[in-house]
Amino acid sequence: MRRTLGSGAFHDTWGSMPMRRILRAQDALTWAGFILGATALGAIVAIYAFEVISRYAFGAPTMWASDFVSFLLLISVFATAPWLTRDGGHVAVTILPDLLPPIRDAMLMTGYLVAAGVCLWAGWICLGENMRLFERGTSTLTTIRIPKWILSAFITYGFVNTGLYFIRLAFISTPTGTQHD
Amino acid sequence: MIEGIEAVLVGVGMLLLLMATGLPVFAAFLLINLLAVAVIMGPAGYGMFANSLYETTTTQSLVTIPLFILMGEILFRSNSVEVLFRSIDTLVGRVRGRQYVLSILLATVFSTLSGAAMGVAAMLGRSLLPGMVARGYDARLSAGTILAGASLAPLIPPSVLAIIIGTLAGVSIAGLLIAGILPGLMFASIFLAYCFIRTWLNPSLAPEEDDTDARFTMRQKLWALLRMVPFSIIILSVMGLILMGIATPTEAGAMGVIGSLVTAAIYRNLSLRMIGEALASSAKVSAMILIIMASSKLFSQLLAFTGGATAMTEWVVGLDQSRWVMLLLLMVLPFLLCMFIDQIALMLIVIPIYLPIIAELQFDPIWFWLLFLVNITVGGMTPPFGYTLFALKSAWHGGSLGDVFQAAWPFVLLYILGMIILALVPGLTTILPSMI
Repeated sequence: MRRTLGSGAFHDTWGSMPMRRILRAQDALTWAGFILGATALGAIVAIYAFEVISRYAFGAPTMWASDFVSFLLLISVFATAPWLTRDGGHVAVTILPDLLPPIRDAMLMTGYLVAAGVCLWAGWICLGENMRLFERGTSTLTTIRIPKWILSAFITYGFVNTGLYFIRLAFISTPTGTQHD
Repeated sequence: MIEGIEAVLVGVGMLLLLMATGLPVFAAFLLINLLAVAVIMGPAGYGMFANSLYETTTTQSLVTIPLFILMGEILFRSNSVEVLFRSIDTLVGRVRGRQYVLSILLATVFSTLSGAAMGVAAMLGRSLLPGMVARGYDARLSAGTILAGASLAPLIPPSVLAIIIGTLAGVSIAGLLIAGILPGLMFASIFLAYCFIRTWLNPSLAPEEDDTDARFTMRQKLWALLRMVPFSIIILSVMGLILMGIATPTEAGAMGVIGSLVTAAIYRNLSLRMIGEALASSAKVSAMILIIMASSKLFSQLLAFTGGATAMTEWVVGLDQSRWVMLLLLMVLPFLLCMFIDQIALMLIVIPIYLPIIAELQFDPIWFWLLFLVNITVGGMTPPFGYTLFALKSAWHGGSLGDVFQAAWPFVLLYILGMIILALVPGLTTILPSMI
């Protein structure tokens, strides 16, 4: 059945003090990303409300609204994704683990590790793409042009940090608290 | 290299298998796509992969998804829905089986506001169902009305699933959103009629004097009606602006958010804390949906690249069956799959495969995709794996899973009856979109 994964909270009880500091720093960075993602969503509402009023009340549509809104959507998704992983908020279909209780936890842990591997792989590919875009000076194909690597850097951040959280989910959090979403 | 139908079967089969192991849906798509790119194109295809992520998350029409989610979050978090709850309770007259009517109306209205069947089922299962059972109403029929009403969520606008289908299928999103209005009302009417008939045939299903507090004065009813007026701001902000052609669905979504803020302010429930919480929650839900969409985008391109989509189309069209048999076949597969896997994941797998087939069969896109939307919604409330059932069960402590299953079946059949009506009378789905 369809569920969100994870216990919804981390209890970082493993690792040495430096490791805990690193994990806390990761949490702080991810929290900042999450706030940025939520703020980007608020900015989308404000920009579109401004656009509709500007167009119909003052007959002056903006040139930049739709471009910025699509940039903000990308930022919102990938800045929020790692926090979503930390909260165990990704949708998963846990039919086999539910049918096989003795190996349920092992299956979910393997799933986290596979997810971590694939996210880091995707992050690695996106990082290569970022560097190519930066070196070539590629801009977005929009009315308001900005360097494309700025946006694609959020994709890289999203996948790499999500991958790291999946590793933490596999080793730190016991996935006992699966919940319906 | 695997090609044609074999490629489709291997790709879809591996995806379903990976998903069944509990791997997050987006990671399953990512893994299949990355493996396919690595095998078929090698590192040269990685740019295409990175571009598919960028393209999806900068798609204008998908901005509507977080906006509709935010609108629902604000209304629920500001307790504006409580005002609706009390007002509808006051307005429903003294009829036999009054609580069934109340349940269907509340589930329908809340579904419209939230767009999430599971959330509505859980909420009403917790708040309304225990009271209905305590008053002597039939527990299974009561639970069934909640399940059925809640399952209208993806159908009646604002609907996140309609936006996803519209984006993936290249159908007018405004048209698809509007197309859900009449069928949604039709389904609610069918459910009401069913409850009246059941109660008429078997009066023991509803107590005779079920509600002493149902004797509201005309003044109270007028006041209840007045208290509902602010919600018209939201309806006008969203559907009105689209119907009048003033705003695109995305802009209408933003105005809907403004409308919900105004509504919350009128009910004196607007606060910065509530707005912050609504934004945070919406950002998470949207990221969850959109990262799945971004991760799956390449899947449809790979289907085309391997010749899988073309081969499937040729095979299905080559079956040379009547349009109705083809429609039935195209509907049965998602209906069955939706009992097991997530609706969004299902759409991302099935829609790219169906698109060329629909074009070849010359089905009206709005009509077909609306039927598809109803179909996958019903899959979510069909035993034994429909996940709306589990949402209701988790909230209903007095009933067993067996009770929930038995509650669902009559309404699943009513949904199928409604789908047959929609299939036979296409005007019900196409008349409103034709007016835009």
